Amino acid sequence: MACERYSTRLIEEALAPGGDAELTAHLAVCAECLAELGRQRDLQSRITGSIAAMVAAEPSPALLARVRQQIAAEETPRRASWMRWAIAGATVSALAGFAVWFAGRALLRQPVLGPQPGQAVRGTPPAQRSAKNEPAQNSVVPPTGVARKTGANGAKSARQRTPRLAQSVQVAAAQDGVPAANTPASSAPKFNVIVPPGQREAVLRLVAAMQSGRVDVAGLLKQPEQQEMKPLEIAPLKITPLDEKTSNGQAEGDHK
Amino acid sequence: MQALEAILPGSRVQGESGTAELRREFEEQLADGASLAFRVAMSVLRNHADAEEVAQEALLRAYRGFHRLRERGAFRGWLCRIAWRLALDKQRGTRRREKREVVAVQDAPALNAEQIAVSNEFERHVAKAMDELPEKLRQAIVLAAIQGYTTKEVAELLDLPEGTVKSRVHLARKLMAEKLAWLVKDTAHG
Repeated sequence: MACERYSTRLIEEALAPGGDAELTAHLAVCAECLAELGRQRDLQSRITGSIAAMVAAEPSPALLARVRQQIAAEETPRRASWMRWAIAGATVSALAGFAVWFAGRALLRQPVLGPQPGQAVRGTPPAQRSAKNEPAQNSVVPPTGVARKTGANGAKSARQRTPRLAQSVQVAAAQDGVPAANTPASSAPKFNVIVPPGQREAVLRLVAAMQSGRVDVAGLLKQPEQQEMKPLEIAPLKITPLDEKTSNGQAEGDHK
Repeated sequence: MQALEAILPGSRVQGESGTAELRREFEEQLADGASLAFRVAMSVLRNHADAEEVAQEALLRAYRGFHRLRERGAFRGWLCRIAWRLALDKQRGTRRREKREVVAVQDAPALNAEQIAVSNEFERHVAKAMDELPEKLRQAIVLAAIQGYTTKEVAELLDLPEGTVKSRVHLARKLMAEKLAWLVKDTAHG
């Protein structure tokens, strides 16, 4: 058995002979290691032979024929490239068209914005709530058709149909700038106020405050008085003559 | 047209006759390229039919991209890399079959080293040891084993310095010798 110390170096020696002077000296006195070196060289030879045999095979002549046949059948590379781009463009166009169609369809499905009879939010302020039998205030009144179909249970589904972009608040007609009290008995005509989304509650509170007199409507509507502005005075610009200034500076410099 | 090619270095302006010229140029490289692609694929797959299939696909891909290849001298290295990648993909695709083969090797009755050496089993062990090498070392030792390829040519194929190729081939052989050292010891004891 070869010396353990030289086992790896024997492999190196088999791969690149004469590179290790110490090993060469050892081989002169150790028959085991010398025999091991011979076996390693034999192994290397076999390994190299095996790999060479592995890659020595030649392809059959049919391979070239098949490749030539396929090349002839194919379009030119440039046209193939052009076709790929064309297909990609057509795909993108089709996807864009579908997206436009889908968006348009979604818009058509969206409820019509603005005041529509039956879709308005009844804007009776919370302060006016008194009777228990009074219908729920600030609730969305479903469209007539929907109400007929869904009945009392349709309130929830009707709420889901509330326009997303804007909301309508129904307010009784104003009298002297103050909205009339929105009670069932009130005979004042009602009008719809289109409010930005999310501001319906704020508008309702404002209307309630105006109706209860807590807000001075006249003060809100009063335009700030404009102060009379004096016309601008144009004063002539005084410029010191250049000669005089220069001469003064020179004179000062002379003094220094 | 030639002026445009002069203005734009590396550009190729092709007219209607360009396609025919392209095919002629590719045809010049085809015979040598087919052999190279097949051998590279064979070194990975070790199956004649699979290697031919991969070589065919590699040559077709090379043809499709041939007009983009600016340096015609780099064709063989480029084809070699295409074939190598395709062969590895193919090998991964048939991993299940490969596993079955490995199991079959493991289940085979144990032979002593002498019997292995005289049979095809030795080549199987060599192939298995080669598969376990890192890809860079494997590529280098395979290309170096292809008949007629010097270290310089392998370096050109792999687009590497010659010293790097020498180092990789040496390391690959050393690792394989270490993996297969048990065969030598078995022989010595047997």
